[in-house]
Amino acid sequence: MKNFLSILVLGLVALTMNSCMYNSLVSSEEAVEAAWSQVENQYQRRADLVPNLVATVKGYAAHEQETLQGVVDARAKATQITIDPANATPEQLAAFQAAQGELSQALGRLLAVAENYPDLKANENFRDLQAQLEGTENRIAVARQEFNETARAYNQKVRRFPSNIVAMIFGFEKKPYFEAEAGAQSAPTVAF
Amino acid sequence: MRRFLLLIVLSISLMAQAATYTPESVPNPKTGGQEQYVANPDAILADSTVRWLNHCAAMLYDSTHVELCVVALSSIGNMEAFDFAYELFQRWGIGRAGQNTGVLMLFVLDSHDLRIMTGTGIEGVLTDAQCSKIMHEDMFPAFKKEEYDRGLCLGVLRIYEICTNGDAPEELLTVRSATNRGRFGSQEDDEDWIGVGVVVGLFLLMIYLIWSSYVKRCPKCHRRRAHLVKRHTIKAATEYLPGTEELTYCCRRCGHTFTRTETILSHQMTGRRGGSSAGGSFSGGGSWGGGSTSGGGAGGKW
Repeated sequence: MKNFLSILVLGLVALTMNSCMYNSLVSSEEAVEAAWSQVENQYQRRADLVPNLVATVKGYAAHEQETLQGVVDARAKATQITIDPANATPEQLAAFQAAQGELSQALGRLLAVAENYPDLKANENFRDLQAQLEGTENRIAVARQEFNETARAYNQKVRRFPSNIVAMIFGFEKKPYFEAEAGAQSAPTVAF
Repeated sequence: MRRFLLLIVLSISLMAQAATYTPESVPNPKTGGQEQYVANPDAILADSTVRWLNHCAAMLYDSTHVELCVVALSSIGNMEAFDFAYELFQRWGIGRAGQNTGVLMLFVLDSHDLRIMTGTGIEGVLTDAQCSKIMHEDMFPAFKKEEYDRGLCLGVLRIYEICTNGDAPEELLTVRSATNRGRFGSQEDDEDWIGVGVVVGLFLLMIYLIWSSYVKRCPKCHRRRAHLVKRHTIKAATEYLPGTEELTYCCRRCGHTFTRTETILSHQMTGRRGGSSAGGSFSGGGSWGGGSTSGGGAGGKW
């Protein structure tokens, strides 16, 4: 009996403690981090559009100070929150998502206000910016989806037996997901 | 008789479908050859338009390695044009792998959706704003007049000009002056009608052949009134060997009954495979470059 048990333990050790499992965890985590940097890229791209957008709108709708200021403030707040994907917790990600969500809402309000200014709507620059904004929102959605997929694949490896043993030994933690938001993340639509 | 009618109904219903496509069911134009860039399964576009588009896309690829794909569908059901375009782009892998210089133009007729999706390698040249401009300035005015062929050609021409950063050659520019009824390539619009005639003829032939297998000529009264009443297998067919069966016919006119012995084709001949089916359609076809997209481009409804 003792012999059998020790063979079983040895077998289990051999099964788990191989470089194959460790390496696959590492490459999975790398994929998650790459996907995360894509998400950050796209959010940054959106943030970079804001100054130009605000300047264009100001030229036609100078009275809408409140809305414009709201966008500027939301952008500042959103760019302040950064996440290190290696140590991300669900709370951190939720905070990040919330800040970006506020920027989305502020932008939505700005575009809604811009509807009242036909001169602004006809402006070439403004239309370009709107198209770019919509494109960026789409890219953000795609990047988040891809992040969630890589995170799910990684989490599966971390939680499944027997790779969870390796994960535990070497300190691989679960990664958080982007949660679906209730309608707030819909792209600002352009209606000509 | 009932079986015969059922076959007729089935074949008619198969032909009369206005299909709703999923990203999996859209036929990949590359199966028809490497120089095919247009998926037009519902024949929304004329053959001359498809030829022009293929020509333009081939020239674009030769000069810039930008892989352009045009997909014109009648319906995608309730799916969002963006999601459909994204899945299709990733599924087919449009654009050169590593460079990601692919462009997908998705046209959906029933929902009036147009989406241009760009690969990461080309989005610096063909920006989202550019795509939006092309759509609204060049394509939608034509679409609103239901000139879909012209609209798509104008859009593709603009993309060509932007990607090659110059003027398009004379042979492509004709589309700017042509109306929707004009010839973009060669004078072969009659070809469409001949095609329709051939299809109808083949269909009628098929119906006749199916009918004649059930209704035979009576040896006694020499009228074609004998219907199949019984089918009895004498020797079953196997994978490689044919079998025999005895068919009993009864003439409706004179009541005479006779039998015929026919061979049953072996399973190999009828294409019945035991387990895996070959099903490869890669002989002579081409493939896309294997690129990907990050969801850029522009879309809209007209």
